[in-house]
Order: sequence, then structure tokens, then C-alpha cells
Amino acid sequence: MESEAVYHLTMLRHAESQGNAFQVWQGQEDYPLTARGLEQAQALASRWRKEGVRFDRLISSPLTRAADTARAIATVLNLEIETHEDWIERDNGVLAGTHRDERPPMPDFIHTYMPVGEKGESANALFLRAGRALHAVLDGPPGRVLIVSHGGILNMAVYAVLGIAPLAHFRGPRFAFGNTGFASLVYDPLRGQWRVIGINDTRHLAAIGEPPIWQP
Amino acid sequence: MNENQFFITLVRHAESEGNVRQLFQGQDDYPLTDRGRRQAAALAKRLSLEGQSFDEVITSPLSRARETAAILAAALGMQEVTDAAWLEQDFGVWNPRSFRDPDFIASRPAFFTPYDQPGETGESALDLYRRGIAAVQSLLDRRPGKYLIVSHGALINMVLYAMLGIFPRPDFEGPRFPHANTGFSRMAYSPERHQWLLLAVNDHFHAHGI
Repeated sequence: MESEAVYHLTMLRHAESQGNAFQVWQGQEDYPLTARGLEQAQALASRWRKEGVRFDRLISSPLTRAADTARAIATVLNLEIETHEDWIERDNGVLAGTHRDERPPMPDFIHTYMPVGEKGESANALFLRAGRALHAVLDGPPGRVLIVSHGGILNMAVYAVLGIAPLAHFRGPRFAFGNTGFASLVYDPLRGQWRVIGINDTRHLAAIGEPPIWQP
Repeated sequence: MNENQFFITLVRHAESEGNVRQLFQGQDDYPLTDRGRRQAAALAKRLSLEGQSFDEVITSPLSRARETAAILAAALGMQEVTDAAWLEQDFGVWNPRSFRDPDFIASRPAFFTPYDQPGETGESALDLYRRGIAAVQSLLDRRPGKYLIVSHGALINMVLYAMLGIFPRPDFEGPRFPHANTGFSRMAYSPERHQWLLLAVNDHFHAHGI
């Protein structure tokens, strides 16, 4: 039996940013949304309004691409935005904002304690930060919490939920997060149990003519 | 999708008579309900509309899965293949009790280790986990391609555990991936990086309102 006092977490990746459109590894570099990104965020906001979805809290990463996605939703659902540094994207050091073609050669093997981009966060550093960010949410009262964040850190948050540890050299499972794709997770503290309700839900993007991203 | 990749869609069967009666079905056989057939038809229509194609349609031998698979395969112009690797968990003497039955709830042990057999003779969490691993292996022993599989809730959960590297916990306390009737999860496997990419869990919007 599910107890009343559960946490419903909706982990949302930001809408398309200019960094996404340029196909760079953004890290903590700050990029605004593209016009299409703003449309994606608005499509999600109107979907949730139609579905009668409500949230008790909205927590956002401080980066513009997340904050602007959060604002588009907050306006429609009438929410206040709490900014939390721990939901910022991975620090990828000197690789911030670089395109695949302009990156310095990567080490042959990147173990889980090794900083990426010379001085960025290691896989384990990111995993620990995601655990701390998640813990801070669960320190608060049960309810429905929307978290607007980034693909790299959200993957580690899902790892923390499922009890998966990071693997070296970008191996290990990955959880797809398209732009404005969200994961729905429920935690029942009386049983200590997580339920994964959905991963990478991007259904609202059909309304603006985008195909499902999971097609091969 | 590159040529070494496996692209796997795991579907839970449509609504069965056993689902409606809230029974432990396990390996007992129940047909689909009419509503179940409509759910399967809705998914079949969605797969066609989205232009999805598969190299093989594989199903558990139980009627509720086989009927679902037959409806999907017909829409795709294919023939489903039956494979016992995708059978549901054996719940022993709990079949065919209702999981809502107060006598059952009262008699259920207070704590289960992953080694304990449900319903005295059923499959323990580890038995089922081992079958989940074997089911994954049976796919990766095939050639890379796109596979559509129709199976059951408990086994699909253990298949996800096997892919993601999660180990069963006592008292069924590990994470759960609930699947609605005809809800599907989807993943891509890249052998060169040994990486599972989870693309969807329990996508069932085609079944809304049925």
C-alpha cells in the first residue's frame, strides 16, 4: 500500500539552448534558449496545464537555459522558482562550450575519480553532488517537486535513485533526456522504495511537430 | 542507429481476465479482455503511424502475451515467435489467489529475503533475476537489430535490473518500474561501450482513455 506522504519528483531537462543548437558540450557555460527551445518549454507548460498537473515546489539550476525553461512553466502554472546551485550542470573544465572538432585530445582512459577537462568534476564528484541535491529535496516535506536541470547531473540523480554507481570512461547505463524530456519518480519513505513512473517523456513535442526522439 | 546496436522494446501484455480479477496470474493462463484487445490494437496503430519497424517479434508463451503479440505482429506484417525465456514469475500456491484477498495479506510472511520462494514453491527474487539476465543474454546472442518483445510485469522489472546493474533487495524494496497494460520500455545497447541507453519507461499514452 502506498502511504500518503510520498515524494513525486519530476526531473526535467531544459529546453533547446543555443549551445545545443551549436552542438557544443556546454558544461557550466551559460547559453540562452533558442526560439525553438522557448516553444518547447511553452508546449510542456500548456500540456501540464491541460492535464491539471500541479507542483508544490519548482527548483531550478541557476544557468539561463534551465532558469528560462523554469520561468516559462512557472508563468503558466503560477509557481515560484527556487534556485539551487547543486542542480547546475557538470563542470567539464576546459571543455566548457567546446565542439567535438575543437577539443584537445582526451586521455585514453578516464577513471571515475579523474576530473574531466583537466579541472572539471570527476564522475564520482558529480555523483556525490547529485546525491546531495536529491537529499536536500527529501529533507523537505513530501509533495510534488519539479526540478529543472541538465542531462549530465540528472543522469547521476537517477543513478542515486536506483543505486547505480558511476563507471569509468563514460560507460555504464545512460538515461535519455531530450530537451524538455522529463523523468517521473516517486519515493515512499515508509517503504524506502522508489518507483520509476517514466523516463524521457517528450510527448508534448508532437504538438510543435517534433518526432519522438527515441526512434532509431 | 549504428549497425552494432541492439534496439529493444519491451511491452507488457494488454489487460487480461486475471488482471481484472486482481489475481496473481504468474504462469497461469488467462485470455485478454475485450478492453485488452483494444489496448493492443491502439499500440499496433501507434507503431504503424510512427513508422516503427522490427526485425523480430518475440513473445512469452502465455495467452495474454501471445494474443497481444499477435495483434502487434499482424499490424507489422510479421509473425511472432514464442520463447519461454519471457514467461512471468511463478508465484507457487499464491496462484490464483487475489492479491487483495485479506486472508492472503494476513498470511503473507512479514519479511522476504531475495532467496525466499513466494507461495512456497514459486520463484524467489533471485530466481527471477537470473531469468532476467538469461532473457537479456538471449537477445544479445542474436544479431544486432530491432526487437519487439511482449512479456510480463515482474520479469520486465528484472530485465531492467539486469540491464542497469541493479541487484534485488529484500522484501521487494528495490526500485520498481511499474508497467501499465501495453506500456513499453525501450532501450538501445551499444556493445563497443557496453552501454545501455534507456529511452523510455512505461510509455503507454496510446492506451489513455481505453
